Amino acid sequence: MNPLSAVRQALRRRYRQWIDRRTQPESECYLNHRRLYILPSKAGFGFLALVGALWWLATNFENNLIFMLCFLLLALFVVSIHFTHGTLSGLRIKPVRAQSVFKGDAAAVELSFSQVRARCREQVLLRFAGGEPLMVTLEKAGDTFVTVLAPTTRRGFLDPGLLTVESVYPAGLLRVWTYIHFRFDAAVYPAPLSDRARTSDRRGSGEGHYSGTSGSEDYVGLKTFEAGESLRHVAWKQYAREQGLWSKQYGDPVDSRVWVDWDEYAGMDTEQRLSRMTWQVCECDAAGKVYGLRLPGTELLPNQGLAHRQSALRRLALFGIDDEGGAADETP
Amino acid sequence: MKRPDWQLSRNGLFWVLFAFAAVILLHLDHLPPWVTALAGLCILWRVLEYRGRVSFPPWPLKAVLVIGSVAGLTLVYPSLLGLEPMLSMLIAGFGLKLLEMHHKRDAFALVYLAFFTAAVDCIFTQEIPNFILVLVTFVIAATALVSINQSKSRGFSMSPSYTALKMMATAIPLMLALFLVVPRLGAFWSIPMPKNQAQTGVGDTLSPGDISSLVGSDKLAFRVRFDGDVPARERLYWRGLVFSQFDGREWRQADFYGPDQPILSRGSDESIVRLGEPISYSLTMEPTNRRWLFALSTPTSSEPGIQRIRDSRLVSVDRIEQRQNFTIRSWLDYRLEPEGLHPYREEMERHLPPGSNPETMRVARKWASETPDVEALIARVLQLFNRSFIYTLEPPLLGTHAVDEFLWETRRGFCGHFAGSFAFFMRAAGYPARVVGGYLGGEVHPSENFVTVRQYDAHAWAEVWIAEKGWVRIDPTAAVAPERIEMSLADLFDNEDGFLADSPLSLIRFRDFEFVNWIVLQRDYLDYAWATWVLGYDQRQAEFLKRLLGQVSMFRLILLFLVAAGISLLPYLVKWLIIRQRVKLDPRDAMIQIFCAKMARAGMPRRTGEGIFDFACRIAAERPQLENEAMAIATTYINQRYDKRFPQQINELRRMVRRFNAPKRFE
Repeated sequence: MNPLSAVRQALRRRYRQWIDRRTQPESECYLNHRRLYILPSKAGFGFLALVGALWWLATNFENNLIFMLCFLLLALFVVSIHFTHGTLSGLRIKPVRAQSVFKGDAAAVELSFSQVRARCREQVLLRFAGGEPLMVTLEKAGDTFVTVLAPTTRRGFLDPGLLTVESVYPAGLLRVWTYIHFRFDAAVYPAPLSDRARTSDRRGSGEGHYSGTSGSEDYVGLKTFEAGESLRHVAWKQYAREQGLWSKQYGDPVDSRVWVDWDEYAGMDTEQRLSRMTWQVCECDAAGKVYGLRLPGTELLPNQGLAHRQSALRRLALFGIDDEGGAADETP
Repeated sequence: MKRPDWQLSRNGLFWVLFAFAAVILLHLDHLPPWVTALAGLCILWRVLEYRGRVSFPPWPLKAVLVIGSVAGLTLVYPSLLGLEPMLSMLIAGFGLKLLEMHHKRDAFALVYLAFFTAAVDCIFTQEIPNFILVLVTFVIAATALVSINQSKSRGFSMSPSYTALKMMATAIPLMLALFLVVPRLGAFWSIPMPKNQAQTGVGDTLSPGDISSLVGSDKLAFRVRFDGDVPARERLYWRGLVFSQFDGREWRQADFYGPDQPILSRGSDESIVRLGEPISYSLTMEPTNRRWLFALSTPTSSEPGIQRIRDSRLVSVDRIEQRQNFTIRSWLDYRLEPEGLHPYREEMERHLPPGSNPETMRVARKWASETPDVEALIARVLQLFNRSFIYTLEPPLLGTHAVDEFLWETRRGFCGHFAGSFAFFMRAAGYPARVVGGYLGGEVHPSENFVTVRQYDAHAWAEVWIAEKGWVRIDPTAAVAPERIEMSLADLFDNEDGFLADSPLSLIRFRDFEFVNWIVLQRDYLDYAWATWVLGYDQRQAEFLKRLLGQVSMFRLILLFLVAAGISLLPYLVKWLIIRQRVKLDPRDAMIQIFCAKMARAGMPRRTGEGIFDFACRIAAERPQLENEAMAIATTYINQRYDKRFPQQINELRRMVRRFNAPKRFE
């Protein structure tokens, strides 16, 4: 690495630290001069070079008309600070909701942009660090809802990091931007890690399993719908909520209670354990089992269904994390 | 990572093409036709490509086009370093770049190029209409700049031009402040000016028909603003050239060490006796591409680069290639070289080619011996002119012995004929005499101490050297047509065909109408103000800033910029203040806000993003006693707001919300 790029990296790190210090987590933000940054864009520097070229032309030909045109462009550059700033200024941004996802998946984060009066704000670029950028145009007064994908790198509460909101509209000569740090209540579950080998070991351990014959009257749980299944068993309620196509499982609850237990994964580090347990929960849920969750200091009684699955996953996600979001370390 | 906005939008493409077309139209006169054709072809190709008819040209074709254009330019222009070859190169490059414009950054480069090439047009002409065209091109280019930053999905729309105009308008006060304040440095190095500029105005030779060809034009020659009153019209002899050499046909400037060379300028000062008070005035010359200035005798000027030469004229060291201002003082009463001419000068000022115009020679010698007094002789010649000569714009053509033919046969002529033959006659009679070229009179603007001199005011007269009086101005035209001295040619030759023959639609033809006359005067004044305040501002910058600011200090300059910025942003400030005062809310929304505020006070605020119906459902679930009222308000609101079939009656909603009362929950 050459020394120049080392210096650049150091500067970039210092800048990020400074931005992080300045940008506190918040639940709503109003964009005004206090938090908007504005600097010339690359095209803006090109434009200044053009102004310089015109100035040279005017001076060398001693031509006052060209001076006037040159100053017109320079003034245009200056007033475009005002106009570009106005593209973002006066916007109110609120987080609306976020989806809980497994670590590594992108979380869809819904944000609301509101403005008091109709004003055309074109080409507003939204991006979470490392995420897909999204370009939106806001035109009407009131709320506009936008869904941005945020990458997730650690389990716990969803903390997508800094959201960059930027625009170069209208002249493209300056770039106005801000960083926003939103916190969400949504959880990032641990990334599931397959544990099939161990599961097959445990098959005969005396834990009950259900008979699995459909046609019985007792509702057991949901499983993913497969083509050819009776339409009478489709879980329409879940489908209507856009949670996917599931079919209801009916079976005899012989003794289908399974424990997903922390203590069974001894000899691994915390994240490994949690990942395997997450996989286990998903498996049980998919198989329509009735399962419980044991974590040190907490226990979730066996149950089944979507709500149960969610609360189990949430416990796994938030394990070892206090409410204020002291985040767990990343998996090595 | 590639940003999602790197592609060029459709509207952006359109406006870039439009800006390019505007630039080409602006430069139509300055480009070789094949460059224009190439540029037009590139635009056409790009449009067809956009519509899917053709694809982008393959690279070998592009290479051929590039090499071909460079080769063409080297063939057309002897050197590629001048302004015009550079311009052609820029335009050709612009066109070829269009054929590979895919990205936003290409479009940016092209828009910048459009700004630059449009500005270059001001080097060729500095007239107001032309500048307006350049400004229009700037607006189009600025629109292109805005449109390439708009979302891709937009089709063609004019909307970016409103934004561009708004930005331009906001920029103007700041531009003016910069224009007033930023100091001008002199040229870094000299650059060849465009070559197409012909020399105009009175030329450095004079043959009998020369002046009458100028009468066809109403083009501006120069303008003068006097510090005091404008002198009487018959004293406004704008002296530009002195013709001392005659070859039998043409009068030329004396070639001391090359015409117009500022030699002997120091020594000549002693040979001028200035009488009375000088008058001072500022002269704004139109470009002539020649060196001499037109001034009243006897002039001095302290402008740098201006020198006075021995025949009491002002000459500029550099050719006058742009409109330029000079401050001049003149003494209208004077004696020029009264104490005698150096023998070689006397010889030169009396020289005639041998054998030329024998009849005139004979008569002149005869009259000289009959009338020994020079002034009496002059009076006698002028009387001859007065009695039997006709002043006309369309004199008959003359042969070898032009003076003979004119004086004794045709007797019809213009000022050049009279001045030339008078000087010839005086020389033939043995007196030093010469022809002087310049302009006479001009149009005096009543209110402004200001005179406009046009090409048709061109004039020629004579000077005769008389012992002790020096060079005396004799205008033989005055003897033939005294009215020429008192009124302008426009009034004199209003109906004659030769007058304004080159400008058939000139407004000056219709000046009998008061309204047209008023327009002509206003146009002249605007032109003058433009020349002095805009084109020549650098010459008066220091003085003007002092007058504007009282004292040129950093603090006051900054204040000036703040005032300019304030004026720029004033409309936005006002708008902002008004908006802050009243946010206009739909009355139905306002009612719902009151409803939500009541619920919030009752400990149940509406959540972010929660629809009003969802909110009502939640109220129904959590506070069953409010269910009916809340649901009624929500449905009424929804019907009123979104269902067009319902009559617009917000009173009902208002009544319901007013009556609504949510008690705090007691737990």
